[in-house]
Amino acid sequence: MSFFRCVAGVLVLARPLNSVRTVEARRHIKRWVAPTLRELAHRQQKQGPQKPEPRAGFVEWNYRSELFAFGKRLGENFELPLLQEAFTQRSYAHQEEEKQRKLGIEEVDLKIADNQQLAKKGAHIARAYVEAFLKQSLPKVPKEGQDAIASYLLSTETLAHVSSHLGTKDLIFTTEYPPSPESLAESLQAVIGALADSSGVERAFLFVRDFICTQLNQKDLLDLWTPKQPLQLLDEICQQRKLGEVEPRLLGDCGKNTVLAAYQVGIYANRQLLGKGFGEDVPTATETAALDALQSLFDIHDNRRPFDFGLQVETKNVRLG
Amino acid sequence: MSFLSHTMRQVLRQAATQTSTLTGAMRCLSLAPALWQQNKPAAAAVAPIDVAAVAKDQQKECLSICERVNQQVAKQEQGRLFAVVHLCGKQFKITAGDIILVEGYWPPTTGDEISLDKVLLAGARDFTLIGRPILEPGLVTVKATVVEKTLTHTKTHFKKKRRKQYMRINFQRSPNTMLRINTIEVARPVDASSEAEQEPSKRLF
Amino acid sequence: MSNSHLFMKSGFPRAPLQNGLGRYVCQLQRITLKFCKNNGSSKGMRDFIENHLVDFAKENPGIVVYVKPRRHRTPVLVGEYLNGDREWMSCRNSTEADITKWVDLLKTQNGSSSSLRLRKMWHTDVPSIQGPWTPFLLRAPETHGQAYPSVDASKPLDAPQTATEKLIELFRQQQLETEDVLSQKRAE
Repeated sequence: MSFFRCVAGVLVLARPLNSVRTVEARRHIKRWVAPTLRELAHRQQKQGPQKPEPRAGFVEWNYRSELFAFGKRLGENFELPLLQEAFTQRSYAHQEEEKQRKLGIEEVDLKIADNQQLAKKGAHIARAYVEAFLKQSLPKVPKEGQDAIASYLLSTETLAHVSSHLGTKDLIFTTEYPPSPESLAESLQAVIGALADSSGVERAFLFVRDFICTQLNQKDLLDLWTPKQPLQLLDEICQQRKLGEVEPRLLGDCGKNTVLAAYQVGIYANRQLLGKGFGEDVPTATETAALDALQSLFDIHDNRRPFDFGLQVETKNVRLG
Repeated sequence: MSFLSHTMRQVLRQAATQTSTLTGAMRCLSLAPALWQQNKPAAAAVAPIDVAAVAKDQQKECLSICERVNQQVAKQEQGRLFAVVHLCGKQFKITAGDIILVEGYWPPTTGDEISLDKVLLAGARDFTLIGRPILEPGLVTVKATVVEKTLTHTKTHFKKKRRKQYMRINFQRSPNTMLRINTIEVARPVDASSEAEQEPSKRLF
Repeated sequence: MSNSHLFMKSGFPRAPLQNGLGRYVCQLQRITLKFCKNNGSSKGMRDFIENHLVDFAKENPGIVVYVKPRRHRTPVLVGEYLNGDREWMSCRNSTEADITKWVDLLKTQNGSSSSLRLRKMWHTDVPSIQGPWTPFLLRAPETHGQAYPSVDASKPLDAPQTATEKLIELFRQQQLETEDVLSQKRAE
């Protein structure tokens, strides 16, 4: 709009001085401006929502400095060729090769490296470290639970979320824009692999801790892993640890035979209170109580000791296989 | 106010008759050690009490509580800690991993790691340390990182006086600082005796 | 009068990607300085580019700086953030000092701040550590065996004494006193 106003102003100034005095000449926004803009908006609406333009297509874009800044921003030293390789998706490499073949270039030297190898390596490192981290932070949780939490941390959604917040979105070479969650996650794994290659596995471990493990901050672990049939599991565990027979008891109730009934059930073993829970009927309350007891046995309550993200997991504890 | 004073008077008038039931009701709500509560009806009924003996009992109880807290902290079984900190004129109830915002000009810049020293209260699942008004310096360490320094949205200050040809409009944005709480830890054992000797005049900023 | 902030998007404080827990990451990805080489309104921007830009770029290797001259247009600062936000800022007729401050603001922000009204100054996912209160908490042991409805438990704790009760009490006291006097006399 301001551009139009400027142009109108310039046009008015450019006229000979004697004609400026007329009444019509004082109108600064021309009569054609509004209908034109309306027409443009109408056409835009008719076309529907447009796809976002890739940032790499802008005039102000320097891929090399972007790569350099990517490493510096995260406080890591990458080898730039490796990093570029980590951002090249397989589909893009294929497309480029196809293009070259069409142009008649058939040399082996021109083969574009893709990130498959690096991603494989990075995924391996990430899994090993996350498992070691969880083993150290949640020592009382059974293997099944640790696996569930690790699979949440290493799921495509979590990795894609981390990846997009590290600014890989504009750097990835893919055939589609914006890149799909799969390619975002894969490129993050490849970045971890590239980091291990350029500055050593320890730095890669710290990278995983600082960006992937921190996603567990203040998370309710029961959301990530809820044991099915908690009462039976509790029974098994009590038998294993010889805590005694599990026995649910009614601690209190309120509003019986009404819509707003509340029951409180406590789970006892060998006269020790393991956990208590509420419910609208006794079976539900027993189930919540069993979950509560499991939470305290596994130490995954909300008020458990918070994760220590400054934790140094010893390298020998990380099983790289 | 008059209603309050009225009820107070009623309660006072019936203190003699209803003390036992009232304290019974309060006892089931309050977390204070049972010792103090048990003393209350006794004081009403029996005139001469051995003050020194009660004080000794209380001190013993206090020491045993401190001992238990220290044991728990030493075994790292205290779980998640929370604290009430005083920061830039405001109090925040925080726990590890929280985000708090400081309003107004505040010098620390992004990436700075700072420790919040004015801890008014710290607590865990099973115990609470209450400062008078703040906890002993160095007892609880709260570490935080400055994550963001920004400005608020534009606030409009508009004033107008009718029929007086007076109208002013001002726009303003004030600085905001976002802090991430990293850790809250009990740094050294809670000791009742040293706490009593501590001089309250030590100033913290 | 502008009430636009009433309809502004409101939200709660969040830091992107749990920033500050592991390591602090500057959220400004790249900054673009657009200016005109001979227009007066770009004077401050030109001065900034001449005197401070190289230092800024050296101090912040994690931020990509683009400088874009264009003819007869106002100077503009554009910051792009890791969360996808883009902050556009006109710097028409701003001085060098102003621009230094705005660039610093863009650097320390997490995203475009001007478009969000904060509703709270605190965020936590663990609001209660010692547990919420419930009516079942810390009940007196004698209430466990209580059968309802019960006359005793239904009485208010602070019911005022009625005149009848007072009279009865006075009467009993009198009786006791007379009994005492009588017994004393008998003893004598």
